[in-house]
Amino acid sequence: MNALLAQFVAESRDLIEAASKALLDLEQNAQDKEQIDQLFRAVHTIKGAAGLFEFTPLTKTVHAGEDLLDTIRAGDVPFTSDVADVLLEMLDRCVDWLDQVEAQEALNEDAAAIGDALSQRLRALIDAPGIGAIPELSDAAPEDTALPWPDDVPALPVSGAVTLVTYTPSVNAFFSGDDPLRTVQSTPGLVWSRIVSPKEWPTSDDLDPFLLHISFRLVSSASQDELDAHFAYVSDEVTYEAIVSAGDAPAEGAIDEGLRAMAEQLLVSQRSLLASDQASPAEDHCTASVAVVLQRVAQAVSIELSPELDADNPRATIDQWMAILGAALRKPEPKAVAAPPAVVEEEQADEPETIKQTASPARANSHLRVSSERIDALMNLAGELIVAKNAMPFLAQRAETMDETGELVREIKAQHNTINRISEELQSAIMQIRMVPMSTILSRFNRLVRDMSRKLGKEIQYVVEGEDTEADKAIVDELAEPIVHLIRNSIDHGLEDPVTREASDKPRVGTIQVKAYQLEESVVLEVLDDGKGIDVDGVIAKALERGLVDQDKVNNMTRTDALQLVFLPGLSTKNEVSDLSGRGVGMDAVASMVRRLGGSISIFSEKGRGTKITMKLPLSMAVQRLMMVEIGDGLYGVPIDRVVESQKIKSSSIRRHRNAEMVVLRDRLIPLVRMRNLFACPDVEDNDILSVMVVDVDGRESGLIVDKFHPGVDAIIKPMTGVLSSYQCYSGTALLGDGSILLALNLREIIECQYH
Amino acid sequence: MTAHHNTALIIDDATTVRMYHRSLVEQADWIALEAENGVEALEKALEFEVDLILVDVNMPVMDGYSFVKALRTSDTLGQIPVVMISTEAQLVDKDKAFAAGANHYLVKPASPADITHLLTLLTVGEVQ
Repeated sequence: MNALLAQFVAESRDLIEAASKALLDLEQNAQDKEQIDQLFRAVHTIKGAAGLFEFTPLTKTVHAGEDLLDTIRAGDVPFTSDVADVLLEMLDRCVDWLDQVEAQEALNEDAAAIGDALSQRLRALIDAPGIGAIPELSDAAPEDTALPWPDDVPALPVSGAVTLVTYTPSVNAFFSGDDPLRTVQSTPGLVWSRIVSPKEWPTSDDLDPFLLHISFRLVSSASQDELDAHFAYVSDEVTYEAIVSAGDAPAEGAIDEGLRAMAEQLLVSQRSLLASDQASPAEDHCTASVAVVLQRVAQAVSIELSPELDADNPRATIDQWMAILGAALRKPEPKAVAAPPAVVEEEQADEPETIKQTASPARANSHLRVSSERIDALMNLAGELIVAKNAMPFLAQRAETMDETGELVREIKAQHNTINRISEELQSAIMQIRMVPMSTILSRFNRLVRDMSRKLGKEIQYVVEGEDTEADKAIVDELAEPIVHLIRNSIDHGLEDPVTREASDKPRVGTIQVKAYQLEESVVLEVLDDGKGIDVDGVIAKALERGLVDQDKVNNMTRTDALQLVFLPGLSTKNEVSDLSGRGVGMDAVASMVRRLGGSISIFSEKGRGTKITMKLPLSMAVQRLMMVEIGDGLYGVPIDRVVESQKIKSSSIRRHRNAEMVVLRDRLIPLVRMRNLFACPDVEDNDILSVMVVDVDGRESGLIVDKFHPGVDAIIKPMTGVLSSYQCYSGTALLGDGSILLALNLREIIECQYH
Repeated sequence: MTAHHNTALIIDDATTVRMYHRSLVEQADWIALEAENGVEALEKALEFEVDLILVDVNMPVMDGYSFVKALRTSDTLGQIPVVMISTEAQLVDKDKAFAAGANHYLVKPASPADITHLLTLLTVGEVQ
């Protein structure tokens, strides 16, 4: 796809999103002038840009939408739900069309019919009673009179109607004395030509080099008679199509005619400008600009202007210049007028696609659109740098044994500090690039809430808090799906219909709130509703019924613990599957999506009051800081954002309760996991002081008994692949600076293991 | 003879449109400057030597009409030729453009040929 088209698609998508948001806000407050303006501007901008391409149905439809919005803006048409419905449909349709453009650089064949129908419905709303006549589509669209500009022909410096010739010489052309290439090159009025290769070449074995396999496409400004004469001998191999360069005034002839016509138009415009009422000092400056225009035009078409500009009375001079130019342009002297465009044409023919490099000081734009792959590549490099940097402390250690003065060690350490600082800054700078605000996904759900609540006859307001909270684009994108499920669940199962709500003394309109905020190195997302809440006993009963837990375990559970059972696969609290939220995707899927991102999820609910689901995710997925612990003879990594604290405890302080070991740390009761047992290492019983690393998994704290704590490292955790991926107790591997491999522990799995 | 490097200031809030105009401007071997609205454009015009301005009408912050009106009050920038390029194609819109002080008016999307011709015609000639 060419860059311009790609830019158009990307920009239009952003605009559609902005328009949808404005539209939904308007539904809340139809009088919001600012939102109407914003909506209008977004649609207007899409229309303007769409006009650059031949997507007539898109342009037409958006134009109708723009006209409708214009009348709404003027207060001639009230903004109603019906209006919103059609406008939303228009935006949806545009998204479809953009998808098509992105996939195939063209619209599907049904686009014209769909576009016409939709435009009519949009215009029907404008024509509602009480509204004056709406001006027709202003300019006569050239595509009505001739074929639109074909996709495979680039924009050419021609005006008006030209002919597109498709010339498919006979495969035996070489034997009949034809010279197709010469025929093409000598076409009268040739503006552009291209060799078209066949859709499928024969294989090299089958290819007969004496046969002609190609055809030609060319654009000519010559008349049909001239073309007929030129192609007379091959007339049955040639087809003609009249095409018109978009937005052009029909021109009678060749390219230089277009330049002459433009010069004439410019003259007319200068007269209009001079005739307009201008206040002082603008009047003098307008006159001066007209003089500038006339001088430049005269030079471009090689016409001498006399006399010199009279500074005291420029208008008099200008009138004389106008007369000279007007006369010269009416009777074009072929040489004088034709010369400059010929130069232009030649340059374009030489390098039509290149955008010339100039030493412009103002090339830079304040924003860049960069593909995420490039940033990922940069991120990977920075990640490797960070890992490579980890080698320095090992070097320092080795140097210590050889270096008696300690000078080398000091220098290595100093260098390590510098490189450490730079690589950290580099990493955070790149992470900043990847950070996007949550609003990029959260604003989309307005629409979901609106459509679903309408469908279910519920009244729901969607409130977003902290949409400016930023996180890594990968995380934000991946979060969209879990949030959709949670919102659907809330609307479908959580929030009651208005009647039930009023009966239970709740506000008629239910609320779904999505809150995002940053907490240390994590981003936290909460989805809250003020619906009927979750019936904990129902959850427990179902879990027992399905055999997901046993009675013994249930007896030990707090109510909050029991609620977390909803994340178990195979548990759905609603008996019948709803067509909205229950498409086989339940809370367990949400939980697994969140965990895959390295996050945690928990639920809190109060019967009759509502439900709150909290998801905590890492800000970035790339480099993580790992705390290293020693177990047996091995080193293992624990993500530092999971570590609550590291403690030394006396083995005598361990309490036993129903086969489980616990320790009381300050006011908390922490279940313990003996990592040596888990990894089948022999116990070291004589140890009176034990090292416990307290970790937080899904909001629950557990203590891992390890042999020894080691310092933290920055590492990139790569997921386990192949056979190793079946070892669930590891989340991945990381390369250490000395070349050894660190296994990162999958804490959730380890704690599950312990409990089962 | 010193070659003058022609510079055009492209003002439009749509990135796609700016990109399109820029490609044509650069094909004609002009330098392209861009601005997203009238205010940004005035700042650019003050900062750089601009030979021609291509301006959209409907823009946030400061629209095309206000921009040209403001430009024309300036002693140093007031004489720069301005071409307005807008989706509105009615006669009234054209009149409004001239009333604001524009030198020419094109209907959007302006064809490559129209813009190329305009640039050819409005090239600052060599300084003899």
